[in-house]
Amino acid sequence: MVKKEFDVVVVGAGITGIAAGAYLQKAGLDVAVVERLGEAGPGCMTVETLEPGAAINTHIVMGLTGMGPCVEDLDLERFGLKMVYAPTQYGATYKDGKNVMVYHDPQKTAASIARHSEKDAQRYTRIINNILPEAVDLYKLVMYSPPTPDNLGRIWESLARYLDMTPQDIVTMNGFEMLDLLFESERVKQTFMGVASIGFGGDPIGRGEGILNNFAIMWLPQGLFKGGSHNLVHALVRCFTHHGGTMIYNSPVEQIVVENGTARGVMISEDSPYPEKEIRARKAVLSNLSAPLSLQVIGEDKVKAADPVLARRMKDWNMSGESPFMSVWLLKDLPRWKSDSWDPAIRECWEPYRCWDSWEEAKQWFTLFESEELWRTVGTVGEIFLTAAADKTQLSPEGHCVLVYEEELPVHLRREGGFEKWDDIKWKVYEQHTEMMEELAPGMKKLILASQVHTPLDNWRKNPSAIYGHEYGGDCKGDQWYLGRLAYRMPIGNLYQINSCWPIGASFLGSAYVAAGIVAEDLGVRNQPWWNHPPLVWYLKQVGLA
Amino acid sequence: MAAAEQDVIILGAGPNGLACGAYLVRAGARVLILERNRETGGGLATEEHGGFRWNYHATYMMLAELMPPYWDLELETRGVRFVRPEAQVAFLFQGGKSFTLYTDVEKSKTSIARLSEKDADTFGRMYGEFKEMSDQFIIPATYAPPVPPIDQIELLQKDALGKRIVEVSEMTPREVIEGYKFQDPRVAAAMLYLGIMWGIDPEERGLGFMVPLYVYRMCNAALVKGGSHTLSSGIQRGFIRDGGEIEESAQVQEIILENGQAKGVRLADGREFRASAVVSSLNPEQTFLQLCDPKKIPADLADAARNWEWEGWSYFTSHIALKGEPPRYEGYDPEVNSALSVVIGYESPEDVLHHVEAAKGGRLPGRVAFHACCATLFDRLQAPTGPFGPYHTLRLETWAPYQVQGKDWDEMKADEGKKFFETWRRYAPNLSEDRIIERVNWSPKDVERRLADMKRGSIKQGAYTQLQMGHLRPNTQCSNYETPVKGLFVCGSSVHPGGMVILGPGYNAARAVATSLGKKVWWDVPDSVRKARERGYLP
Repeated sequence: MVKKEFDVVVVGAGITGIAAGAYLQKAGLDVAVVERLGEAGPGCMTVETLEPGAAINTHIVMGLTGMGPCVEDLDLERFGLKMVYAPTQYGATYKDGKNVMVYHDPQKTAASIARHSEKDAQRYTRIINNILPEAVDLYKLVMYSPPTPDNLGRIWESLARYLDMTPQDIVTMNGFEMLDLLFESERVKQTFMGVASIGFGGDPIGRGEGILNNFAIMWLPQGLFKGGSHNLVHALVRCFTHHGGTMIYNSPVEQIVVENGTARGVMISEDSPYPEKEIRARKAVLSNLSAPLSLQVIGEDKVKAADPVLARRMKDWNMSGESPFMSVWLLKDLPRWKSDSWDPAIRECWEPYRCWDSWEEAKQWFTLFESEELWRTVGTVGEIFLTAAADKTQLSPEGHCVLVYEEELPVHLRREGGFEKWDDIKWKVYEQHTEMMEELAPGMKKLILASQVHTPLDNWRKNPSAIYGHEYGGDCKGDQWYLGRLAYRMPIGNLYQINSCWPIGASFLGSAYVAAGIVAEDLGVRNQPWWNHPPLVWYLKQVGLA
Repeated sequence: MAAAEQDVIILGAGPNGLACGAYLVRAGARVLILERNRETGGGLATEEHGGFRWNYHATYMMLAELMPPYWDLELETRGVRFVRPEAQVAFLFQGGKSFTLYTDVEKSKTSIARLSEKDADTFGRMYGEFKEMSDQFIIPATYAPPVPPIDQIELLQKDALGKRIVEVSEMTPREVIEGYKFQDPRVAAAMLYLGIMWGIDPEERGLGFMVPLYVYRMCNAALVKGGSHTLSSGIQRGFIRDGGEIEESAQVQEIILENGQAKGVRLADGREFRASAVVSSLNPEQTFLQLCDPKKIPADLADAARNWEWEGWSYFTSHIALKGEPPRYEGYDPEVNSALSVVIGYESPEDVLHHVEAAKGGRLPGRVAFHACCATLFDRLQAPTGPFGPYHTLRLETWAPYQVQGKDWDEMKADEGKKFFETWRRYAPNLSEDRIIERVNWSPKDVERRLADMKRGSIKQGAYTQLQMGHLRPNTQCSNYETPVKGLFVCGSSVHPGGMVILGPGYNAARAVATSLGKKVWWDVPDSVRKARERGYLP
């Protein structure tokens, strides 16, 4: 590379790493992002491995970037970001032929809920009407601010107000209890719980955190990245590169260099094409690796010397709960949902969830999952992605479309012979997924041209930071939730942890935003005229709710 | 969103479009590259599956560091590095016989000598000749505008080497190899295969000069570290850093022609971009018949595009994510285990010719034959390092008809992939289906679907024939990169010097465009070109 020394070195070109890098570079620092793969955004890839032109988004599909300040702060549209906002945010389609649709426009959502229960629709409207006037501040507080006890208190107070309850109610209640108190329709409850089961805002069955998580779901400002999710990565990398940032690809980081208690750079693998193996950082090193891998790369002894409790926590960091399995089908044509006759709006829904067959099944699922009962959880709750329903540019030139079913599964396979067995059992899981899909969309099997699966083991092989295939830096629940996530500032000089923090690193780029803010403050470059956009405003304009 | 006014608009972000853009943006031009696909790089396509990197298209870099853009665009500082294994290509025959060609010609001779001592000497002599022809003329001519054939012949007549180049050029590829009279049919088959493996018709007269280049460079081929896409991504980042803009998923519908001049482009979504120069890296049919209104361009230019000849056959590739150890060829000299590529299935020149005839005629050959590569032997980056490894990435490639008579590639490609793997396994019995984590078969139909400029699977955008090479590529009016339509330029593989990721068309076109726009040509003439000019081979 031209230079061997930068102000800031970011380890890992996941979208959090590049976005944080782009903020810091734009703020005038000289930043390098070092990545093991040959392409940025390991969790945000779009590939064409079934048929040229037919987009397979191998992980991130939910386009949440528009809800944050990053689109405007980083001027991402100028660098090619294109979002598609279909009328629905998501939906749920059921084997009994019914569906629930959640729209950007809450009135439309209420109308869909009203088909199941008029009372539930009124309740939904009341809650959303409570939230919307405060939404900008709420999103700023929850997603784009560092976690502090004060902030948490304010979150509890807000949630209590929206629900006409007390903060004490909120912290002693879980998602199931809340949904039971609010709604009567099973299908409505299943819908909100099914989407919440991804758990990126907290454990749905955890007290307090489950409420926040379920809240995030009731109105989810998401769209699609036009053409495929990797569009976001291109925009971020171009923004970063345009401002003078340096991408260092194909360079696995083997060590974060710590000298006299201060991070000074990184050592990259002998496999890297760059002849210089040490990259120095004058001011900061940001680790976008999950807690256990970060610990390993920093050196367990060094973290232990600085903070033995933190070292232990990073080592034992739990990454068992959120490992997605994806079945992917290339179809001759868009499938027709059984619930089409209930509400044909489902045709334009790019994310019609699979949310169990009954509310009872939903309640049992969490126990089955925690007990690693793999075969009893397969095909019961998960995300269905049919991006071509809202974005024709994801079709192949022949009009073939990609259908994806992605669900979190109990991951360890101890009863099957261990984690390694994912390669052996994957087609059995796929078969069950296919049968389940056929029930949701009769005739779907006849449309199949080709298939593919992505297992938790595939995720881990692709990204060593995704231990057990985990999708966002460790389970976000219990003692790993909010204040229990890792602090951005590490107890080692110049070193920052930007993964396994709050919030998680999904496409809303919350942790990137918070991390960049903290580092920029420490380095005295936070005060930038362009770095002041509120969240959500850009999104509201896009969907006509401003 | 890119500005509506540009100096230069380039159609297609393949290697040539990107290289051309990178030169021009550094010359101070405002450049926008429009790409139809969602990813840039064109044939430099690396798709990733669970950490395995599959190079769907271009894999072996024949010229690598010999490409002037590599140095001019400082690609080595952007992490573009080549791996060039010493053992280059191993030919495996029935009954445990084999030989290997190395970057070191003496080692190649030692290996061939085990089949035939005389052929070993012949190879040494042939390789020496081929190397000199390539270094002194064929490679420098790649990075200079083409010269009309009669003038070129005259320039070459000044010494023995030049005369030999002219003599070889007038032969068919088959005659060039036959002229060396290899004794062992297996060695003769191998040499013929190397000389024509990238889609050169063995019976096409006037193409003989391709043979020296391909044989010499396929003994010096390299992989791009990290996968082929790393090369295009390196060019692209330099282009962006220097202020260039790229838009993907951009479907260009029309080149705007006003008063016989190209003024910009119109996209399928209705947007317009205006520019002083429109540079197309697409094939002649796309450029002149689909994007231009043929009625608005000179009639002979439209006719030339209509008469453009596609390649006679294409390629089938199979990409495999493998668990466990790399292929071990049992009963063969262990040296073959460490070769960059392994060629299987050609026992005599007739086998090679038969395969070409079958592919041209829309048939699969009677005998399974292909070449294969395990990139991870040389580049650990192209497969995961764990957990539960080791892992390797395999790739096999074979000549295949664009259309198999009466069959659809989509329906047959999975079985074809298995058939090839089964043959491979007979040579390397440690391979087995149950070690395959995932496999993708890429048929000629897929080549065309992904890379629309490669019509009928034409990997070089059009056949190499005497009438479509050099000064005649794509035709005499356009081969100097400027077309008769003012403001419209061409820079793809369908222009001299052609395809195969040599970056020649993009490089040469950049000079033509910069000169035409009055921008500073900031880069020097390459040493190899300067020497060829001193020698009098180039004007």
